[in-house]
Amino acid sequence: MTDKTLVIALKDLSIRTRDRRSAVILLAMPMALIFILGLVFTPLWSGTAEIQRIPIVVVDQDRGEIARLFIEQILATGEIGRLLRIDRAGEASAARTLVMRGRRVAGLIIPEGFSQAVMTGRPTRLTLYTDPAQSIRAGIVQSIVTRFAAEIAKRQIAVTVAAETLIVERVMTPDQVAAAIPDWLRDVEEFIDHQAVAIAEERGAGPRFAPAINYYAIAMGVMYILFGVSIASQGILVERREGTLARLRTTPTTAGDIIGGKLLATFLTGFTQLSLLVVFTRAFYGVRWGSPLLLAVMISATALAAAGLGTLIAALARSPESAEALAPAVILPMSFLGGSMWPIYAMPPWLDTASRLSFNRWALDGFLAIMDGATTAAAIAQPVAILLGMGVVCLAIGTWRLRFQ
Amino acid sequence: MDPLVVVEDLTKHFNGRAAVRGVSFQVLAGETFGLLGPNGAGKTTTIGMLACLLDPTSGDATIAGHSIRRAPMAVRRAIGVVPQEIALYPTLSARENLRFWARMYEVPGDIARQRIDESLDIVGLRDRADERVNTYSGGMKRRINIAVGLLHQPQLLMLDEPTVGVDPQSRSNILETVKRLNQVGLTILYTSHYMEEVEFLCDRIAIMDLGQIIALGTQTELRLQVGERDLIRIATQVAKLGTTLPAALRALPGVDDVHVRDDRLEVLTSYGRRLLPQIVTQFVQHDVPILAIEVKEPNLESLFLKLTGKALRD
Repeated sequence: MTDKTLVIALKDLSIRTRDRRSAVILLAMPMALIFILGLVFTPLWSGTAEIQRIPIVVVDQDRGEIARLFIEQILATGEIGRLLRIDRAGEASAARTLVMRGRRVAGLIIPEGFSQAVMTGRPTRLTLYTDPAQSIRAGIVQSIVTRFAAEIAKRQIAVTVAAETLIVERVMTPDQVAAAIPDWLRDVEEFIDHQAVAIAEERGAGPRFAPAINYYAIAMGVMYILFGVSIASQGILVERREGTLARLRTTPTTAGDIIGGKLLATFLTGFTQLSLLVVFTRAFYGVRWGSPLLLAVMISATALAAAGLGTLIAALARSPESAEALAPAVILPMSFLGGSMWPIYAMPPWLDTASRLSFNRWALDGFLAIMDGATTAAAIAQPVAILLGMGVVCLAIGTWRLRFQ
Repeated sequence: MDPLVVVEDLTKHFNGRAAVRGVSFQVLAGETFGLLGPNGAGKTTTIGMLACLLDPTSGDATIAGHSIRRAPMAVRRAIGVVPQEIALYPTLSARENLRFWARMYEVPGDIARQRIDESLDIVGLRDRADERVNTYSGGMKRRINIAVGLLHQPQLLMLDEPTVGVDPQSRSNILETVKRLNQVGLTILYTSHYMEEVEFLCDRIAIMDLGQIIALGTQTELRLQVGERDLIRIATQVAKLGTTLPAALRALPGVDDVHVRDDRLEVLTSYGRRLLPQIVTQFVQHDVPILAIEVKEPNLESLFLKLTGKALRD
């Protein structure tokens, strides 16, 4: 590195530090997004999210024991109780109106004589109004009610057969059987609750996630370093338009010094930006980044890769304006694909494979490994090597194109 | 005087189209040489090649003995370039800009400080040196643009249309600055499409059009080269002229023709002002009163019109 390379880089950095608009975009924006996404996703990822309950309205025209059991013991308690918000209405027409106006997802009408019909084995029916505009949530309510109805029907058959057998075999009198039937039917509550618990346990057994704020500190950091560096790379286009690049070339300064200086400034911009994000997220959000040494290596590799991409974007654009338009068109899809917006944990296999084509994915892999407690260089060797490779290829193509413009 | 710049058959093509076609000229050490021509004449392309920004398609030039093809770095060290654009960093102060460019011109740090102050003095902006360039007027920016080209004390200063877009006062200031620089010995290559600037500054002039030099020489030589003559108009009492005074005037060496029109007598000559005393003497000897005298010399604009059939600003 020559003296002039350093002077050009320092000049660029001096100009950049005076650009407050860029500073806001490159530091304040990711800090705000990390905060918001961390706040939103942390409860969800840690399983403590307050899920928005499904509002339903119930009209109990029966007021019998099975209806009370259904409403109070099944719909209003346990896992199902945490899923639903139940209001009561006196008339079926009122419930129907609430659903039709979209104010409730479903309306359940339990008709008069429902409990008596269930206990005596006579046919009966439940009425459920659902809002077609909220088909998924209405489907959940419908499946609960359907399961309850199926369980009741199953028990009814079993109880009827058992009662007839007990009476025929003279084990119990008809009166004794009639008195016992409600207890036998009540088992349905336990059955449904048991199923619900089983589902909850299944959800609990998943991969170990980094807390959302940690994940998005990396994800946003990587995405914004790409933006930051692409802005920095536009410096050469601005210099070309303003005539300072041509003037530089009338001085005894080599093309290598000029491109080297620009590249150094771009790299230092990315390195500083990501380092500041690390410091700020540690200080304000308590993000634990892991080994400082490995972190410095990872930041350097990411900044270099980003500098390469930025140089390529600048080389493909003909003006600062077209580079400004081109940068998001490249960076946003790559960020989406690479896990900066959508967690890589939640990617389907094909997307997981495709994400390996993006800078973001490899940077995320490296930083996540360090956050997960990696202490040896071997843990980040692959992401670092791939990032450097991507950076060098982009840089070579970009520099080659810039020399011919 | 020895030539500092020797341009030989310089040609530049862009995508098969010739922007400069076989241009040759010399700039003598210590002179101000002007390249005059309308926009698109090839002046900036010529300067671009001499400044080692553009590779010539053919031909060559030497500046201070260094070939622009074979020794571009040595050429760059010998020249200062003031481009048409205000090629400065607007968010840096004038001093910061000059410090940066001094480093690019390889001026050592302690000498650079002194040169920066000297350059600021030359362009008269030392007291505003620590203000950001984007707070300057257009004329002030142009002056700092010139100061950058002086930092390394070049042997040749090339100025490419340095007054474009500035107000008359700033323009006058810039022209005076360039004149002063030449008076202290700096060789200057100046391009412009403003005829009066070139006439004011330049010892010798090359007129360019469509990538070629169509005329070259001192202002007097140029006028002679194209056969343009001075017109001396003398307002007088035509009735007193008779035939002897016009005949006597026609007999003076250097007088090409004499006409009487309305209330004035017109003398066509290639040596306008130099002939004035003899013409006045003839009027006195013939006792014919002179009411007013006007000398109309052909300017470069009219030369250009005559050479190309179009106005300089077309």
